[in-house]
Amino acid sequence: MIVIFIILIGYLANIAPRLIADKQWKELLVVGAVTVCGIVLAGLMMVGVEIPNVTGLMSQAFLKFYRMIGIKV
Amino acid sequence: MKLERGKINGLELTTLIAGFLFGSAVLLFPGQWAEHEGWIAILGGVAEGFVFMLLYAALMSRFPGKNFVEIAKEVYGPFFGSLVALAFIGYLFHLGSLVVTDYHDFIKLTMLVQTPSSMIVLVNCLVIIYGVKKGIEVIARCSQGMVTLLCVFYLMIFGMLSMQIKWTNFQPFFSLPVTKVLWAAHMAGSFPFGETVAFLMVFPTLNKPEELLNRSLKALFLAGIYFFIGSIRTIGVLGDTARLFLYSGFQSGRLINIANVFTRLEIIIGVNFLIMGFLKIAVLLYGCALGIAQLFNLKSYSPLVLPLGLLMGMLGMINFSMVSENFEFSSLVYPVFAFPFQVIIPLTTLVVALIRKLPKKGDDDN
Amino acid sequence: MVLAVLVCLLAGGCWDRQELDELALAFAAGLDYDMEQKQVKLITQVIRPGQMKSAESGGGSTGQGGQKASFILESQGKTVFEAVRKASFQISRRVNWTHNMVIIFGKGAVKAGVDKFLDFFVRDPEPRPHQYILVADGDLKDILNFKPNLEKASAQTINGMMNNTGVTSEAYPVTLQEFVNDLMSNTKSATAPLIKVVGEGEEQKLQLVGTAVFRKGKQIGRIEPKETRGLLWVIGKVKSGIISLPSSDGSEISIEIVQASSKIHPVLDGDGMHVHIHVKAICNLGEQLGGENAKPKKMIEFQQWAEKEIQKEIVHTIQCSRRMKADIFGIGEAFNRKYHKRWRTMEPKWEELYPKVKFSVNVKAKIRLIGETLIPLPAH
Repeated sequence: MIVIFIILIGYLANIAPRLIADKQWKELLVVGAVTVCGIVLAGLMMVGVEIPNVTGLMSQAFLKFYRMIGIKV
Repeated sequence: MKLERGKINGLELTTLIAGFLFGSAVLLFPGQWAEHEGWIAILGGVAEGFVFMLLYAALMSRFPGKNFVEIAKEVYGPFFGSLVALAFIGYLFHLGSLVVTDYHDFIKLTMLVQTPSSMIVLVNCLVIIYGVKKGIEVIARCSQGMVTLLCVFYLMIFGMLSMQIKWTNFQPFFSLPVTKVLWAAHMAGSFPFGETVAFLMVFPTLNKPEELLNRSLKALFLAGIYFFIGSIRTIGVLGDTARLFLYSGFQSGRLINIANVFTRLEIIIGVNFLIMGFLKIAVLLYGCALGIAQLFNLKSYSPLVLPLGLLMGMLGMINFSMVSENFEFSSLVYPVFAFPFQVIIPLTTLVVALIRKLPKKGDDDN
Repeated sequence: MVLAVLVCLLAGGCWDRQELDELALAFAAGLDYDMEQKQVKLITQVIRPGQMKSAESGGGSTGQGGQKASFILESQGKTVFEAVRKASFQISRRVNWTHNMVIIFGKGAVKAGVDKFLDFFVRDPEPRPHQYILVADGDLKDILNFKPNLEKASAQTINGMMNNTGVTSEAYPVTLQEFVNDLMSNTKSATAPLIKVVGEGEEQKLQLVGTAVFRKGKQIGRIEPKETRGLLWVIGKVKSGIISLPSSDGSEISIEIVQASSKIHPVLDGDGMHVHIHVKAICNLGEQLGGENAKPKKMIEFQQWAEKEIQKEIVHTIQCSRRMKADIFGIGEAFNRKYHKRWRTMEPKWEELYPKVKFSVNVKAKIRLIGETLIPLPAH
């Protein structure tokens, strides 16, 4: 996990100066946003925070809906 | 098409789509819900996939050379188009993370039991990221060799198990309730056939656009035949026990035993999965990166590949709290959840385009 | 190209490396159950991979330096998996189940119901579907502790015996895959061979003494080796064997079975349930203890007697199965395949309905070859 974290930070550090130098502000924004998301997520997972299981929760919601409309699951 | 300058030829498209379809389905058995009538479910799934493909080809022929993000922006206008495109990209991203989850679960169960999840996912993703950064051409070229190899392996395995197939396992015919078989057919239709919607981001790279339908359908039939063979093998060899196992394709491979020398060959099935999983995730990651770059009118999609790829991997790790949730999701929820993305969005886009008489002649910004 | 290399390098997986000298391979497992203490008792027969290479077969069980090639571990737990881990706990290495050949059930386990104990062997990826299932007639520990003459571990002996049953076809070797398949059926009675240690001291050997018959995972009875052959005739699994018949002129002849097949035809009509069993056997004349020359006329006589003998074996087994109310042939499943709609009402009552099924047995035997001689010894 820590490896992923380091890779992402390193990547951002690598690519940001290049984009700033080329004055590619849009690229910087988008790539930066995605990478920062990744860093935050990796960081949280590295520290041990329990991230909610996205698809699992969605699956439970669907199943609740099925039961509501009468399908037996 | 400013972002993607690469071109792939017809054969590469066929093998790429075929490899994508094989993806995670070589391991799982798309018709498992229908037990001993799984082969019927697969035939139904192929038919469903066939219809989907016609829809996608129709959309592509209307807007030649444009990928789905561009089409959405044109059809729905810049604001709503971006929203629709974002939803579509989100689906591709989520699908990619699901394949990563399957990958991870399988490897962790059978091969690398104690290796930490993040390592398995990291190594997996790094290879895929490297491939996607090299470009869709490279991946398509890879797929040619990989799919050929897979076809050979598949037939080899079928040959080795053919003596163990008990034809009585397919009886009694047509004894299951029709609803069960229909649902299994729709399951097979949405996984993996409907997922070819991802190719709406890849189709524009075809060097001869008029060949699109021809080549795609070839891929569909190729994959369909192989899944059918696989279902005959799995049901014939495992019989009633097929519904016991999570990875029934893999389990049927365990029974290979030729003269007590050729045993333990189920690993070939595992390798098939590794190779095809790579192709599938690569196509999905490519679609996401290209889509986001297109959405924000960036100069290149290349810098997005690494962060998106790693994010996909991480999402793959946290998707489910347990494997049974995955199974429940794939069998009960996914066929319904995927339907809007596989059918409704492309269909609506086509209909709106027809109503608005798009594309307008002379409105070509290529 | 680069990608391929990259994948290979990165998928190597040294985190999960398993070196051969760090493993203790389980070759056989004995499962028993204690009803009072509710404990699963596991006896694991473990092999030290290094010792298996010792060349001499005479001193097979003791290599150089007095180290035994195989030994047993006893452990217990509330579940099979718990007992499995406790076994590893006792020795210096981790027990690896990928090479396990044999699972033997003890008396307690067959009384309690063996199906649930097999969950570990099916669910865990290490054990494989080709393992043979047997039931111990007598002490489980004796069988697993048995030191064979030809092999290094009794597991190999048992495995070899299972592969070899075709010589008389008086035992029905059943693998984990087949056994689980049978257990999953609501009507078919699963079967597994019975094995025990016979003899005293130096004269000990392992012997297959019949077949255990199960219902819903619990053993309800047994059939003898000859009756097991009747079972194999019906399901078409006779590979070879000898039928010895007295000839009309007072001599004995041996007919060697070369190939056998069977067809089961269920018929459901107003008259009730019928099953037509057609057995085809191709045989050779194996031996004549005196008597006349093997002229075609005589051969036809031999054929007819062989047919009668086979029919007797089959009918006898059918009667045994009727007495036990155990559908060991899978007749119920045959009805299911052909008459699925009506089967749904028949299935829950099958235990009572099965003895009422009318069997008709039709045997066709053909004696093709007569070996290398024309005249039986003594030839005058």
